[in-house]
Amino acid sequence: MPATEERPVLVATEADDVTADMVITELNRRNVPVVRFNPADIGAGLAVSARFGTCPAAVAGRVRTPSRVADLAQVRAASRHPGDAQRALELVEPTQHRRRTP
Amino acid sequence: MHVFQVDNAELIESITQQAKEAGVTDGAIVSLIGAAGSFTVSTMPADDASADVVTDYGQPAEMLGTGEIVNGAVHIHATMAVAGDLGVSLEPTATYAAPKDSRQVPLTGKRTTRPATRPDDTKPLRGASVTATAAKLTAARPWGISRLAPYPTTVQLPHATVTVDPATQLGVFRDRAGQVVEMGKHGTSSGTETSTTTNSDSDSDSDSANDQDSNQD
Repeated sequence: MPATEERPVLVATEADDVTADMVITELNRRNVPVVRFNPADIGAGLAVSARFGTCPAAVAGRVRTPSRVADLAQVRAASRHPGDAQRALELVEPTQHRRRTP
Repeated sequence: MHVFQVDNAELIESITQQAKEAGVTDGAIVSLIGAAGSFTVSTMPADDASADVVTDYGQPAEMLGTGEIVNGAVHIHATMAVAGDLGVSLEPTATYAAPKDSRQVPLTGKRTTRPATRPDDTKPLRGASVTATAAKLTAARPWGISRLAPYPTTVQLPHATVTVDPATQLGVFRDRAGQVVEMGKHGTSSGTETSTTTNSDSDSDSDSANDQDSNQD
């Protein structure tokens, strides 16, 4: 089993997504761990276990893809769609990536 | 129930005669089946329900129909199936004869237009909405078929499969031979449309509307 990533960014998208590739390329350049998965792959290609209990029980769970494992309690950001690319980068480093003013 | 058989005779004429002999002045023709050597049908012009378009077909046809007898007058609507698996829906009015050797005649009828000459006594039961159901289908291709064309802007995708690279988490595009293909970078699009401007000087007339335009690279 792969090692659990340290404070990863979750990227939920399909494999065929060149916009997400651009985001992940930038995250890789910054040495930010990325766990990419497609929710449609749940089963053999994606395993999820999670618990969202009330206090004092903390959030616990894992996302496991064929190549990566993420601890849900450690996730620093999640990008659900290529449309969220700018938002994902903001979440990673809020001071350096401003959304362009319309 | 009566069964009328028509052999080597004109259809309407024969049924009218047989109904009279059977004492039927009013009734429903629940089934009409058979074949005709030639036939004449009556339909209406597209823009005039009060006129008849009478078309003679000099070729044999299979026949399926229904109808009514009102005050002794026979009124039939039928569908004729002709060579080439084509159907002609119509109101046959006359000239059903025994099949003869006319298979070479193309499906092009001789057509005349005349004012409606139906007997007045049948009009209450034969309003325009009833007779309007008679229509004629020809062998013409449906117009919509002529509008069909291949999509003009189909593109062949350069890749056959996409997988996620375990090390980089990037999408890896491969062609059918398993070779990695470069998908290129996303282009950027920018609008270059002009905005609507309104001149604040009400005396001049120099307003301009916006133009829709954009660049994609």
